[in-house]
Order: sequence, then C-alpha cells, then structure tokens
Amino acid sequence: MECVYKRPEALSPYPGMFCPGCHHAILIKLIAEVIDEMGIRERAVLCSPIGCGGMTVPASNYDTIFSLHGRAPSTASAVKMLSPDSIVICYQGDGDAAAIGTAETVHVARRGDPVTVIFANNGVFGMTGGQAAPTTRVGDRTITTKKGNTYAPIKVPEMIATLDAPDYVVRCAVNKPKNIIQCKKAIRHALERQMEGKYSLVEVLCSCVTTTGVKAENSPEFIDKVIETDFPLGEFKRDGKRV
Amino acid sequence: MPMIKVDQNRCKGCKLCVVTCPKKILRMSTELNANGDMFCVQEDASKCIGCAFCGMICPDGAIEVYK
Repeated sequence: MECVYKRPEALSPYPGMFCPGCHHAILIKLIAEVIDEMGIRERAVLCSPIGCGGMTVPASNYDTIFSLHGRAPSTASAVKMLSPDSIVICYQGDGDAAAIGTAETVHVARRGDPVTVIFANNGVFGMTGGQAAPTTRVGDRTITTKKGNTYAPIKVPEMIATLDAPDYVVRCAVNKPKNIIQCKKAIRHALERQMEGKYSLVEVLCSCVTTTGVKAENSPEFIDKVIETDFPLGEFKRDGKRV
Repeated sequence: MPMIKVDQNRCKGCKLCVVTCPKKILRMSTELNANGDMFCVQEDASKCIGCAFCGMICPDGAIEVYK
C-alpha cells in the first residue's frame, strides 16, 4: 500500500495554533508541501508579521524571522540582501499588508526585490476580534460596521500589477481542492521566479471562521461567493507582462 | 483498496473534510479526543476512492491517504 498524501516534513510536528477550520493553516501547509517538493527546506526563510500570520512561526519546521507590524517585506528584502542564497517567503495577512504596511508592500514591489510575498486576505482583522479591514467588502457586517461596511475594498494584486518591476502577480484561493492545486502551482512558480531574481506576489483568499460569523463547514461556499462578487481569481502579471 | 488514517489527537473537528469528500463518507465522531474535540471518522471504507481531497483540505494535517 502506497501513501499518496501525508503531512509535509516542513510543517511542524506539533499541532498548530490556528482556530479549527482556519484557511491560514491550509495555506501554511501548502507552502510546506511546495518547500518539501522543491527540496529547499535548508534554504527557506519565512518572514512573518504580527497578527494571525504570526502563528505560522510555530507551525513551520524551517527558518523563520519575526518582524514588526507591517514591516515583513522590508525584513524579507533585508534577509535576501544579506544572504542571497536563501529563499525568502514573506507571509502577511490583510491587516498587515494592506493596512499598516501598505508603504512597505508597495515599495518592495516597486524596487523589485527578489522575495515572494504571500498575502492571505480574509477581509477582517482576525486576531483583534473581527474589526473592518481595508479589504472588507461593501455591505459586510463586522463588529465595527454594524450596519454594513460602506467603503470599497483595496485590491492589492491589481494595484501591484500596475508597477513595472513585479514579475508574477496572482490571486488564488484555498477553499476547494481545485483551487488548492492551482494555488500550489502558483506558489511553486513564484518561488522559481524568485530564484531568478524576480519579485512575485500571491494573494490567497481565506475565510476567518471565528470572527465573521461564517462556520468552517460553510466557508468553501462563502469564498466562492467572495470570488464571484469582489475578488476574481487569476493571474494579473506573468513574466513581467500584464495578462 | 484506498483507505485513510486519521490522527485523532491532531484533528480539531472543523468539518472541512466532511463537506469536501466527494463520496460523503466522512462524519464526525460521537466520542471526544484528548483535546475535547470531535474527530473525523470514515463511515464506509469500501466506497473510498483515494482522491486525497480530505487530506488536502485538512488544515491540521491530520489525515494520511493510502492507495
């Protein structure tokens, strides 16, 4: 009998800190799978920020570095400059990359530093209790927008794709097996382009199952609705050209 | 014959595997694991096709699939 699927080696053997059903945990497992398949566990460095993205540090079984809130891309480019052989993955949430760290997100992309930014977008500030974030959709009810959010969300991949330096900009999701396979391919391509000295950004749509009132078993359908209404999946830039 | 192996104490009972299984043969247990959570069990092992969708979607890496 042959094992066709098991937990990747690059994922910590201890149980993760995430809530039951959190899509962050699917994403960090996917990154670990890609690292195992490419055999770069000794070279990989994960830069993680404050927020739910910070709980990826105990879940990773390879080198990690913790940074200030929103400053993960700057830390990642510093690591890449000091040790050019390492594969630097910058893991960020939406409160981190799109709210407090917008300047870092944009300027690291503008300079085209050879790092891979993985941006997990769940539409709320999950760790602090579900306040409205810059990525909350119009009409979504959170604990700070009781009558529904009135401001349109920021779309980070569309914004980054207008710059010249980024090489690969894509939006994926991890709600269903089809999307998980596509997301795995995207992360693998992003890491391969990083080895050639290019910047890449992968946005991954996640669902916060604790603070948005969406149960874990309903979250795949919820993300399908989010994809239909506000955040379409697909590549925005490939090999430095707009798609 | 395809089969799955669930690490009962890693499972947090989120039910993502239950809704993702294409053959709908997974369900939650009635007893509890060491953390006090319900865990995933396979009802009818003969219907399993070994697609590994449950392992892919599992956020905690609790499911191993053999074929």
